[in-house]
Amino acid sequence: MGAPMIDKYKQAFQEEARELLAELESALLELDQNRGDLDIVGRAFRALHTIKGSGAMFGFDDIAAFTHHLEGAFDHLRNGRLEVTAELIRLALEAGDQIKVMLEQTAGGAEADAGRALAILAALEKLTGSAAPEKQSKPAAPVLPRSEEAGPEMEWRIRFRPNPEVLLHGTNPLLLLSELREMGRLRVDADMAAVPPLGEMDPERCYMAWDLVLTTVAAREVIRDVFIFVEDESELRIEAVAAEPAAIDPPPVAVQRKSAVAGAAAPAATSIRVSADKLDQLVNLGAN
Amino acid sequence: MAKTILTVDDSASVRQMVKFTLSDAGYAVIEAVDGKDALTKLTGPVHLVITDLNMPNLDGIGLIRGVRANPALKGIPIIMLTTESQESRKQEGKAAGATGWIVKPFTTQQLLAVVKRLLG
Repeated sequence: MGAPMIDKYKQAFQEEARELLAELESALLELDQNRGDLDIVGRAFRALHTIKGSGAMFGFDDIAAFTHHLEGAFDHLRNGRLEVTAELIRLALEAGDQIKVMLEQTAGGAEADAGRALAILAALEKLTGSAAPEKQSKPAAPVLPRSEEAGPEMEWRIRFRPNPEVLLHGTNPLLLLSELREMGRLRVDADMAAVPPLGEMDPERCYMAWDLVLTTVAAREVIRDVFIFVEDESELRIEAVAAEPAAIDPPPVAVQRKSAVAGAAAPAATSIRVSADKLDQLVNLGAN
Repeated sequence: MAKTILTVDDSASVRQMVKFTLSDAGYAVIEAVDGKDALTKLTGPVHLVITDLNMPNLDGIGLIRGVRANPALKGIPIIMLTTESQESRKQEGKAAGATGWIVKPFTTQQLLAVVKRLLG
C-alpha cells in the first residue's frame, strides 16, 4: 500500500482510535469496581486489539507496537493467567493516556515522551512477569507474483486433487487453475477416474483431479501460494521438470483451454480428456 | 451484475479500507459491525464474506459457524482477517469452515489477490 493510499485512511483511524481509547478508559474504570468481570476485560482487550491491528494497517507502527504489550497483559487477564489489581488498572490507564498522546502527535500534536512509554512498558513487564506476548509474527500474507523477482522460465508439473468437499468449503478449484494460467502457459489434463456413475454422483462433491504443466517465470513459492488455502486437505505435488535448453527446444504448444494428451504416467484407461469449457460447466453444476 | 461482498469488522477504518478497495475493483460491498449484524445482512445475495475474528456480540468464529450451518449459504467463500500470530486461532477458523485468511496488516493488493482467487 503506497503512502497516498495510507493517508486516505489515517484520519479514519485517528477518529476510531480516539473512540476506542474512551471505551478503554470507561472499561478500566468499570473493571476497577468489578475486578472479576471477564466481559469488561474482553471490552478492554478488544479496544486494544483493534487499536493495534488497525494501527498497524495504516502505518501507526509505534502505536501498534506499544499497544501490543498492553494487549498482551489483557490477553493474560482474559485467560486467567493474571489477576486484575489496582496497580494494573492504574498502569493501563496511564498506558491509555500515552497512546492518546502518541495518537495526537500523528495528528500534529505535541511530541510524545518516548522515555515515558518505555517506563510504562517496563512497569507493565514487571507486573505481568514478562507477560508481553510472543512477538507478532511477520504478516504471513500470500506471496504475490512480482515480475521484478521473476527468474528464468521453467516448466512445472503439478498434480492437484482437492478434497472432495472443496466446493462446500468455498473454493472453486477452477479459479485456482485460472490463477495459474495467468502466470504463464498452462496445459491442463483432467483426471476423471474418480468420477462415479451419474446415479451415484453427489453434485456438491468434487471428484476431479488435475495434472498440469505450467511454463512460467514464477518461483515455486508463488505457484504454491495459489494453493495455500487448500493444500492441507489436498493432494498437491509441484515438481520442476528437468531443465531443458529453452533456447533450442521450441516451447511447448500453448494449449490454453484444451487438455493435451495425458502423460505416460497416466494410464489411458483411467483418464478422459475433456475441454476446459466442458469442465467449467461440470464443476459449476456443483458450485451453483 | 457486480458480485456482492460482505465485510465484517468492528474497526471502522478497516471496513472503510476494504470497502473502498473492493468497490474500486468493481465489487458491490456491504458492511457489518460484528457477527450478529452480519447474519442479518446475509439474507440478501452475498457472494463472499470477509470477517474479522475478534468482535463483540458474535465473533468471527461464531459467524463462520453460523454461515456454514445455513443451507441457504452453502459453499459461500469466507475469508477471515486475523492479527493473531497463533496458529491455533487460524486452525479454529478453518475447522469452523473458513475458506481462507489474510493476516493483518495487509495491503490492498493482497486483499484483491485473495478476493480474486476465491471469487474470480
